[in-house]
Amino acid sequence: MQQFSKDNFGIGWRPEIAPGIFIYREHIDFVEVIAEDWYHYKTASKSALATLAANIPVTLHGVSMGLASGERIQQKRIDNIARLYDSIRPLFWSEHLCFTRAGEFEIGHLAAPPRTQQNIGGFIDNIEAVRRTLGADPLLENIATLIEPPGSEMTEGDWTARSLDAANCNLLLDLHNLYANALNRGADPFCSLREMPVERVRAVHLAGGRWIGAGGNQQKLLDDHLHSVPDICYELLEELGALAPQPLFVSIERDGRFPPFLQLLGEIDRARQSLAHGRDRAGAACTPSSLKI
Amino acid sequence: MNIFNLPGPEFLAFYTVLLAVSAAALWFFIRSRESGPAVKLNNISDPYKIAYLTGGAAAACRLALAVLLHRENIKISEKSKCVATDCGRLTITDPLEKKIYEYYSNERDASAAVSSENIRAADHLYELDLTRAGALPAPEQRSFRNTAFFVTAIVLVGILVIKAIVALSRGRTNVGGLFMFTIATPFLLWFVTHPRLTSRGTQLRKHLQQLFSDLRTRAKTNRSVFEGRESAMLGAVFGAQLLSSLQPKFARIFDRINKTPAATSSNSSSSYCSTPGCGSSSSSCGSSGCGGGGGGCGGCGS
Repeated sequence: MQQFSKDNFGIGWRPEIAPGIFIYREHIDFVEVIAEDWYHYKTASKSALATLAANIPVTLHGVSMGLASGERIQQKRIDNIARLYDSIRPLFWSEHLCFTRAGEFEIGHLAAPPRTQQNIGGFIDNIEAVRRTLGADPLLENIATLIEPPGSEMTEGDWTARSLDAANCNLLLDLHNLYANALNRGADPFCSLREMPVERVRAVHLAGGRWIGAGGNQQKLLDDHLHSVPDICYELLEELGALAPQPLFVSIERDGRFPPFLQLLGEIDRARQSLAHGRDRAGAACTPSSLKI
Repeated sequence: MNIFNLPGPEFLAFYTVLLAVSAAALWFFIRSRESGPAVKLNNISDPYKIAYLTGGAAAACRLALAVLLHRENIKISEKSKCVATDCGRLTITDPLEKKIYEYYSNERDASAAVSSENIRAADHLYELDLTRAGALPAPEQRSFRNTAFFVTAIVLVGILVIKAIVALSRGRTNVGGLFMFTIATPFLLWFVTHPRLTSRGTQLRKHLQQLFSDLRTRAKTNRSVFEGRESAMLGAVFGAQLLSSLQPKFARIFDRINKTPAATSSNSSSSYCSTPGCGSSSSSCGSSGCGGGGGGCGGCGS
């Protein structure tokens, strides 16, 4: 396990913004790399990622394992990320509290599983399988869902807390996902935040989305990573800073429709300020060597 | 078998194989000896350091000139030469840009960007850092390269000399082929034993190009996304000519630079200062903005 003593701010590595990341490296503490973007490369080409990791601290983010599932994850998927993990030794790696396939059928996106005790059992089994191969636990990210998973027995916060407690894993809290889920079910996002196991948060995602029609006059917020981070997410981050004294890794997620890089830097800086305000409000100080991921 | 008793053509064939195998062995030996973990640069934000890595001092100087022209810190005069403007003088903070800018305080050809004075400045700025990072050969590596070169060259040229003596002692005078190989052998061996970059440096260059590869293929459609410094970084990784496809303004600049007198430096993999005659003069410090990424123009216009 690595120990961290301060908040860190970064951005998702996307080739489209590579020059900006290099040029403004001094403003960026780390980059988050999508693991699946590198699986198809041969070993010699994967070493470019090792070069990136040598020059900018890297975290590894998987998007297809589907750990929160009653189905056992295939060993080859664990091996894929294990090989990448070994080659670049990221600060940490992360995946999602979701399922992505049913049998041989690939869903093609991150799907929220029914929030049941049974699914928690499946999740624990998958985490144990990952642990045996990698030796390093992932942070688990809450996902956005346009519908409440049918058959759920718990709230999002309760299920998340129980899952992470049972597996002894920590949380990558995506604040836009939390906000979108709260909005879409008519809840208060700040209440949703407090329901989450904030003591387990180690990393944060900030992203943007857009409103989509959901039948009739209804609209829902879609987390599409193609828009700027809305003000509310910075407010949630500030609140999180007050609630969670441990150092956090905060990254901006942007997958396309990239604005000028200076605008993305502005989002990083605003996140920095928001978290600092939250810290100030709480009077919390980062405890040196207190955070283990 | 005594190789020196081989008839001329057979001996030359044998020697060709021997030379090729020796060169290949030397190449692999030196590359593996200079290999190691991924290079960590002191500062990956400096496009001129990256340009120095990918194309040498001349590439860094040319990129700096292109950026200064783009920012209108230097303009192309009516005499088709480059000259520094007052535009954004105080915003030039990069040391190589400062050097190039000051160099052009007097009107000069664009190709003069790679004068020995500027090359030395670039070497002074970047060579030591890249050497310490392992991208350029360190003194002990250079020493090993020289030893490998001399030992191999002496052995191989010695074989040629002995064969020539044997041939001449037997009354043969057709030793032209031996003579040519005697000249060519040291050149080939030097080329093989003295690549500019170490294998780690070559890996770094390759990896940077791979990390940025999407942008190279999409450069034409991404014109509006990159501001000056980001464009400079792309130019550093792929060569300053890529900037032409990124922004029309760079294309016009390179078009003019390419019409200037030929470059005087050979220390580069890129060469776009080739022919005489710049296009018509360009610019005042105006609407396109001086000091891209570094600040405003501040009262240059008139």
